Amino acid sequence: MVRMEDLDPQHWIQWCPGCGNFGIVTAMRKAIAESNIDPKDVVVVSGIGCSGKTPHYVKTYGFEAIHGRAVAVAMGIKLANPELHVIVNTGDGDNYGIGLNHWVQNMRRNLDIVHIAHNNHIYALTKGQAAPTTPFMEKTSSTPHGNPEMPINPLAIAIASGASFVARSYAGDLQHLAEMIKKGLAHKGYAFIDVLQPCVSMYPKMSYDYYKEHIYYLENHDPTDKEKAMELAMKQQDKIPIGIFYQNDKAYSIHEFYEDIHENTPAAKHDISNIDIQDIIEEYL
Amino acid sequence: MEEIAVKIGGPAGSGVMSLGKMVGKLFQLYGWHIIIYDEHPSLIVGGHNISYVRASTSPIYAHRNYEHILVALDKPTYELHHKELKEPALIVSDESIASDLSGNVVASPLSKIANDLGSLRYYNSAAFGVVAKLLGAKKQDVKKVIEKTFGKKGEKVVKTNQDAALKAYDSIDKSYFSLKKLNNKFMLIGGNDAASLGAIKAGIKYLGQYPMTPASSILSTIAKYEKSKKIVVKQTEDELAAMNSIIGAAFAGARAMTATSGGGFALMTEALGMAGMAEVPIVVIESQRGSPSTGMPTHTEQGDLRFVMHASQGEFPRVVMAPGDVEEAYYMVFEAFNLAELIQSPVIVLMDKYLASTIQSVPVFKTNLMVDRGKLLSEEQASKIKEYKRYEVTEDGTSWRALPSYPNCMHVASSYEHDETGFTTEDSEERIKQMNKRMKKLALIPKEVYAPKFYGNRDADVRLICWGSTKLPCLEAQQILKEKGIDVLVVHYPFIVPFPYDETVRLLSQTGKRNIVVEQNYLAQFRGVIREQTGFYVDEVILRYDGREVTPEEIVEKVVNNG
Ligand SMILES: Cc1ncc(C[n+]2csc(CCOP(=O)(O)OP(=O)(O)O)c2C)c(N)n1
Repeated sequence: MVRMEDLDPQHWIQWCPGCGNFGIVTAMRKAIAESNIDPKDVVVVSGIGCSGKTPHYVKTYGFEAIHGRAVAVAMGIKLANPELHVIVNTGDGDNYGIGLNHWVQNMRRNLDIVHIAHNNHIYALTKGQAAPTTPFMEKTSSTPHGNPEMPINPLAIAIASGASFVARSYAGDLQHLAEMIKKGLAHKGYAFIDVLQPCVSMYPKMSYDYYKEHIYYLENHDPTDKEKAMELAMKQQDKIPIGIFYQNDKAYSIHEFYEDIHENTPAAKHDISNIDIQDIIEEYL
Repeated sequence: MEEIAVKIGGPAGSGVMSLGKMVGKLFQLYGWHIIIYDEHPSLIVGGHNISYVRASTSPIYAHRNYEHILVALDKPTYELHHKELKEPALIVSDESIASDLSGNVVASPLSKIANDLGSLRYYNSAAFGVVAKLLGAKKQDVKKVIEKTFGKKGEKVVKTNQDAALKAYDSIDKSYFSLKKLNNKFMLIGGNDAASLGAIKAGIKYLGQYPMTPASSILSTIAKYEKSKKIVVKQTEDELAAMNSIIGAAFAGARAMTATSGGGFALMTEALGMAGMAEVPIVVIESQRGSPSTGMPTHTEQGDLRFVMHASQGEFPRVVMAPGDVEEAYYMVFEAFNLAELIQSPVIVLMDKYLASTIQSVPVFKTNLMVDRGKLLSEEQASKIKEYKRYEVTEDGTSWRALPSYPNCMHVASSYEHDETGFTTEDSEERIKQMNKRMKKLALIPKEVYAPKFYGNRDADVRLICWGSTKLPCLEAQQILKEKGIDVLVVHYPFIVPFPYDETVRLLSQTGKRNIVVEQNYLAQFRGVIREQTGFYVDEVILRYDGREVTPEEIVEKVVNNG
C-alpha cells in the first residue's frame, strides 16, 4: 500500500501561507496514495508560475518545464513511456494563455494524462497581471483601468476539444478535489480538471469565503451526455457548479495507435544497442 | 575519367525528379559515381523543375555547368539550357515539339507510346527508355530500373512502364555512349534520407517534428518505419511542441530528435535552453534555407550558423556539427545521439537545402556502429543506489541519469537553476557549482571527433576552407584546378562547436599560403568564428547568398583570377 506520507515533500514549501496550492498538492498526494500508484511510476509535470513549483512538493519523478509547455513535455514523456502516470499541473495563465495550443491539441489527441489547472484568475508569480481567466473590467496590476477582455471558458473548450474527462473542483475542498484526481487517474484518456484556487496575495477578491458562497456540487447531472455537459459549461449563472461535467470511457486515444510499439517494453526502454537497418539499406541499393 | 551529365527539365508536376532518379538508378546499376541535384534556374518563373544527373567512372562531388544530354519535357527547358550542351549535345524531346528545336535533336513519339498504353502517366518511362538507349544501356537493365522504381505498385504497373520504356528505347536507332560496368556497389541516397537512417540506426525512439522545408522529408521517411522499427513518430502542433516533447521523451529515456529549418528552430530556442539546464540529451537537425524570415523556402543557404551557435538565453554546452555530404549525414547523425548522451545536452546538426536534397552514390553504410549511452543507469544499477543526486557535481561534469519508474531515484528535472538534487536554488555557491559542472561537459568530446578534415596535399599553396555542404563544390573545384595544374588543399570543418583550435592555428599560422573561406552567406559567418576563436583573419572569401549552391566553376575562377 502506498501511504500519503510516502509522497511527502522533501522541501520547505515556498507558497504564501493560505495559498490554494497547498490544498491542490495535498489532494494530489492523497489521490495517488489512495489509487495505490507507486510514486516511482508517477511524473508530475509543470510549467512556470506559482503552480510550477508543484513537482517539488510531491515525492515522485517530476519535470518543471518552461512557461506554457508543460503539456507538450508531458506528451513526450507519455508517448515514450505510456506505463508512467503523468500528472500535469499548470497555472491558468500558463495553460489558457501562453500554452493554450498544446492543451487543445492534446485534448484532441485524448492523451492519457491527468491535467490539473490551478485557476486563480490571475498571473500570481509575476505579481498580479490579468490572466485569460480574469473577469471582464477587473482591475489588475496590468489593467489599472479595467480588463477589456472577456474571460476564457476552460470547460467548454475542453469538452469541445475532445478531452474525455472534464471536471471542475475547488482547492478548498480536499475531499472533492482528491476524488476528482483519483477519478482522473483511473480514467483512460485526457482527464482535465479546472481547479478554483484562491490566491490570497494577488487576487484576494475570490477568497475562500467567496467560493464557499458561490460553489455548488453537481447533482443529477449525467456526465455521459456531451450536449448537456456543454450546456452546463456554457450556462451563465451566479453559482459555480463543481464536479464531473463530462466523461466518455470509450473515446479513442492516440495511445491505441502506438500500442504495438510498446508491446513488450515501453519505447523509452527498448534495447537500441544494435538496430537492424539492413532492410532499409536494401531500398537504396 | 569518363563522365556523362543529363539534365531533365519540365513543368512542375511532370515527374522531372522521378525521371532524374531513374536515370541515376541506371548509372547505379553500372557502378558509376553519381550526383543528382535539383536545380532552380534563376531566370525562370515558378513551376519549372530541373533535375540534373551527373555520373562518372571516378569520384565526383558536385554538379557542373554543362550536360551531354538535355531531356526537354517542354520548350522552355530547351530555350534555357541548350547552350550548356557539350558533345554529343543530344536533345531528347517528344516528336510533337521536335520541329521547334534545333541541334542534335533526338525525337521520339513519347506521348503516343504512353497514350497507346492507356495513359500519359507512362510518358516519363518512355523518356527514360530513350535516355537509356542513348547511353547504350542494356534492355534488361532498363527493365531492372523500372522494376526497382515501380515494384511496390504491383506487377501490372511495372510491366506497363517497362513496355513504355522499351518501345521508346526501340524507337531510337543509335547509341552515343556505351556504359561501362564498374565493380562498385553504391547506395544512391539523398541527404535527408541518410540523416534519417543515421537516426534510425542510432535507435531513435521518439521523433517530434512540424513540417518545414527542407527538413520535412525526414518526418515522412522516419514515419515509413515507425511500425517496423518501433519508433514513436509524432507530427506536433508546432515547433514549440516538437522541441518540448522530445525533451519529455528523452527525459523518459527515449533517444529523441526533431528536425526543422531556421523559422521552426526560432520557435524552439527557449526549450533548447531547457534541455541545456535540465541536462536532457536531444538531437536537433536544423536544415537551413534562404532567410531571414520565410525567406526562400526551396533554396539553400548557410545563414543560420551564428543563430544555432548562440540560440537561447544564457550559456550552456551544445554541439554544432555540419555534415559535408550525404555519407557524413548518416554517420554524423548517428554520432549526434552518442554525443548528446555523452554531454547530456543538445546536439545540433546543421544541414541545408543543398545537402538535404542532393542525392549521391555512397559506399554502403556501415552498420556495425557503437551505441554509447553515456552515464545512463540501468534499472538494476539504480535499485542499488542509496542517495541519488541527479545533478551531482563530478570531476567531468556529468552525472548519472535515472529514468522515471526506477526505484530510489525520484527527482525533478528543472528549467530553473537547481542544486545537486534538482531542487530550485538561487544560492550563489550552488549556482557556480552547477554552472561549472555543466560548462565542463563539452571538454568530454575527444579532439579527434571534431577535428577538421583535410583533402589533398597538405602543402598546397591554396587552401579552400569550408564547413557543411560547401565541401562538395570545393572538392569538385579541387579536381578541376588539379587538371589546370593548381594544387589546392580543401579544409572541411564537420564541427563548429566545439571548435578545433589547435589544428586551425597550425593551419593558419603557416605563412605564404592563400586561405579562402567558402560559405553560403553574406556576413562570412564562419570566417568570423575562426577569427573569434583563433585571432586569425582570413582575408579571402567566396560567398554566395542568392539561394544557389556555389558552383565549382565559380570557385575555380576566383582561385585562378584573384591569385
Ligand atoms: C516565456 C515566458 N514569458 C513570461 C514569463 C514570466 N511568467 C512567469 S509565470 C507567469 C504567469 C503565471 O501565471 P499563471 O500561469 O496564472 O500561474 P500562477 O503564478 O498564477 O500560478 C509569467 C508571465 C516566463 N517565465 N516565460
